[in-house]
Amino acid sequence: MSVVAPAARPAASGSGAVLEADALRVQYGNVVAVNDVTFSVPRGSVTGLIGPNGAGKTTMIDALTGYVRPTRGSVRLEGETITGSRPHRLARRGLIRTFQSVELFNDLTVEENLMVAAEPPGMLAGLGRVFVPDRRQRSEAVRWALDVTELQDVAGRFPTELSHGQRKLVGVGRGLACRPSLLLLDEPAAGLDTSETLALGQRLRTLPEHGVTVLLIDHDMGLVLSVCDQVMVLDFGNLIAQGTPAEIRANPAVIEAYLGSSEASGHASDGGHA
Amino acid sequence: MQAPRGATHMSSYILFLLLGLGSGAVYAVLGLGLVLKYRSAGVVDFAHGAVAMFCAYVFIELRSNGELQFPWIILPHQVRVASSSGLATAPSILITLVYAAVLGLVFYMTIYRPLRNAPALARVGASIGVMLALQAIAVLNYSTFAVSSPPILPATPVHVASLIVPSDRLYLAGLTVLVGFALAAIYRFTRFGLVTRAAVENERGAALLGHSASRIAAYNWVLATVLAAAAGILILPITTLNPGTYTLFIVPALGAALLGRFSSFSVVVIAGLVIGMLQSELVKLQTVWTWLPQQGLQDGLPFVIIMLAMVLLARRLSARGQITDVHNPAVGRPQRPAITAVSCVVVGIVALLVANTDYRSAIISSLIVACVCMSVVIITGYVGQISLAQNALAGISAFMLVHIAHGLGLGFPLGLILAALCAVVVGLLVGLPAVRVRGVNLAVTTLATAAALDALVFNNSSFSGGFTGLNVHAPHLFGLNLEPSASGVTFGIAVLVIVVLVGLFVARLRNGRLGRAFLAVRSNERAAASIGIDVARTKLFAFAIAAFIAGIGGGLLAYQQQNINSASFTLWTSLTILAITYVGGVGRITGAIAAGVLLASNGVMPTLLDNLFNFGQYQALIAGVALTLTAVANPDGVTQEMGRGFTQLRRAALRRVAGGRPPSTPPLAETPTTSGPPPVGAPR
Repeated sequence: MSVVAPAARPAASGSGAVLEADALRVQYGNVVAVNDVTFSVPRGSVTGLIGPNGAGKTTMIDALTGYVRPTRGSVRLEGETITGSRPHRLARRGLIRTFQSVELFNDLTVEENLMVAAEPPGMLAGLGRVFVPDRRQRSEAVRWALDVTELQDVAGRFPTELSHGQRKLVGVGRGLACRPSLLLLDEPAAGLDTSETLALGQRLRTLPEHGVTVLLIDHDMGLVLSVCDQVMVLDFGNLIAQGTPAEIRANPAVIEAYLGSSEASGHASDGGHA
Repeated sequence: MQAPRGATHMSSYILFLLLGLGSGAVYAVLGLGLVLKYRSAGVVDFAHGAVAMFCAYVFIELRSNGELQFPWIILPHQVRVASSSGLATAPSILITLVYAAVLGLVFYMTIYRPLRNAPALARVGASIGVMLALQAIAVLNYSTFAVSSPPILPATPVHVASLIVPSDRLYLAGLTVLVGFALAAIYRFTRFGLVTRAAVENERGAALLGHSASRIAAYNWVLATVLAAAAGILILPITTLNPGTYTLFIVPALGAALLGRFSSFSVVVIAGLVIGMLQSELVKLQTVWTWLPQQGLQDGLPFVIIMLAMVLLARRLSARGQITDVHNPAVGRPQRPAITAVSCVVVGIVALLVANTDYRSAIISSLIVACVCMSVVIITGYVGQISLAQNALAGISAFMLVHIAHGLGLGFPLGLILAALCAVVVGLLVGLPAVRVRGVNLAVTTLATAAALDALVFNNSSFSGGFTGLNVHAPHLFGLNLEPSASGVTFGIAVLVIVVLVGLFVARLRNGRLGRAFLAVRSNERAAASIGIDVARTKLFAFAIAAFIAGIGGGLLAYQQQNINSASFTLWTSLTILAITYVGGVGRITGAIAAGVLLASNGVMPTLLDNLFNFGQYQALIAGVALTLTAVANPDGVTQEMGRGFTQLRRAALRRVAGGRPPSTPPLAETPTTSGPPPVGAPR
């Protein structure tokens, strides 16, 4: 894929962890959705987070990105504590998430969905732009995001005119247009067919080359085990395993909690071949 | 002899509190009705006070003339049911309550049921349309003169401790408490209450169990309307009846309903009674503390309560479970704004030169209203925030224009800009609640703000000049006399150029970075935050821009009218501005222009119709009915419909030219916005 990366976000440090969660807990009344989870996402990796439905995956993303305030514990981005920061501030610091239910801006075209993500946030500057002539060319970030997601052909369409798979990709592209240092993908493959999933996996694999670390949340074992460098397994809010895909496949606790069901083991064997 | 004097002092404070029980009872009962309607149908019915007002007229006409009144005009709107000496009180009440039940059922079935799952804007629009229409019908049929009524409940003096209180206040308060208890019991213990709660929680679930949510809502709606009518009748001897004040009972009633979080009957009853008592107490306090504003303080109180309720309870206001498919009104995509602007100026100048004095002033009025409507296009169309206070912002600017000219000696154009900036300050206050609340709740707070501005600011004669109003200095620019009275053409051209510039600004804003951020916030706040958009700041920024544009409109109106008074900026005018913009097409600049030309009371089309058929008096009614119809039938507005028609015509023409090959443009993608994207409509 010949893709030109946009000017990379200045990285705080060359190596180490982009994101670290320390004893992160989210509790609603008596229900513990995320139970004292500690992990880190290494820079330049594609890290996977899997778990059966209801394991607390989306709650975890919400807590990491400021949509849910953790009951206790802390989150660090590039070494700085960000626990309790508002979502838009985290987004501007390079922590970008997508949504399981896509949530595109339906009044904007695909390209505009990406543009609004790539544009600087200053309101007064935006007001100033009203009074100067337009630059009629795509910004580098938008061009890059369109290239990576291969959405150039539908750039002028509205989200409602696209297939479900394409809409999911627009969600990913919109996240990329923000030039994230860490991209959290919430079930990007849900609702995609096998070939679409495969293509998506290949695209995700290339992102670290462009300075984007990926945290991939999915319940599709096949995708996660084939794409990720490191995988974490969440079950009933507990982190029950962590390791390379091979280690996860062999982990008895994971097999017990997740692969035990016949459907999931089918996915796992898919993953083995993929 | 300090002690006894202190005691009488104290007791007079208590007396005023008790006197307030009367209006408090009405607020409470209307608040209860609002809760019933909201819980069953998901609609905050802004027309609830107007319904009480209309039913009160029905009762009065029955009792004094023996005629049954209908909510329409021109056609005979009364039927004789008894001799002209009128009916007795009891049968009149009974007939009115049955009448109210039918009215509630008809409104629910024709207007609110179709809107059950519509976006907040459509539901707010529909109920405001009903409110404006009922108010306009009452003005046309019964005039704005206040009517009073002989006692209904026994009003004998009663001794309470050392005080003498008219007994009707106590009866009203007692009845209200009874109604509150009865409703709470019905909801808790009967099957009907259980099913209503079930349908609120989960409409589809209740339907699966064989309970039609819409039938349940209809029962609740009828009950609420009957209660409103009863309250409207029983309060008659205490207040006087006129179309405006009764309709505005909705503001304190909303305050009570909000404090009860649209669910607790007991809190609503207490809140309503307390609001009434505090309002009454303010009357006493005004005599003691003479530094208090002497007018409008009572009407400002519900505003404070609504704001407090929103701040304290916003996060906990329950959202009704519903099956939604949010469809926001379509937004326009201005194409070649500069060329459009130039051609608008040319066409406008020709029109101004050709028109006679009447029509020239109609054109200018249309332009000014279009300017204020563009502020609605920005805040409600692009950002999706319902503001019911835009014309009040225009009013702030209009009066400030005069004060700036007097105080600072600044005239056109600097004074106009400064005045519009004053509107921005107030606009930010109007928009502040939008940081925490959205949808219909924002409509409620902006309505309360508009009512408070109306009562406290525009009613303040040192600000607005009282009945005589304020005289406005004629605008001059570079020695050019822009005085509207001269021939009007130069002034007209100045207005034209300013409004077209505002339109050009809005178009460029829409197509640019801010417009995209605005639309992103409108379609999905969560997702907007996820890409780094500060949703709260974006909303406030939009409120500021919209306020500036409304302010420019208000300033121009001041220049045009030469003498302005508060009547030009009442709450009704703000509601009407939203109404006509919504009808025109709230997401489009052409919608604002259509609103100004076709629907504004002094605009071109109404002037034409007025000259032909003496039509002007019906403008408010038409705006209200059109608003409701638009909300129910065509939320995108008339210009969208006209646009569709135009597109079809163009396609038909193209088809003929191209020999039967229709262009494959998808319906929404009229044009790609920026250069470069691949061909639209390419096969996938």
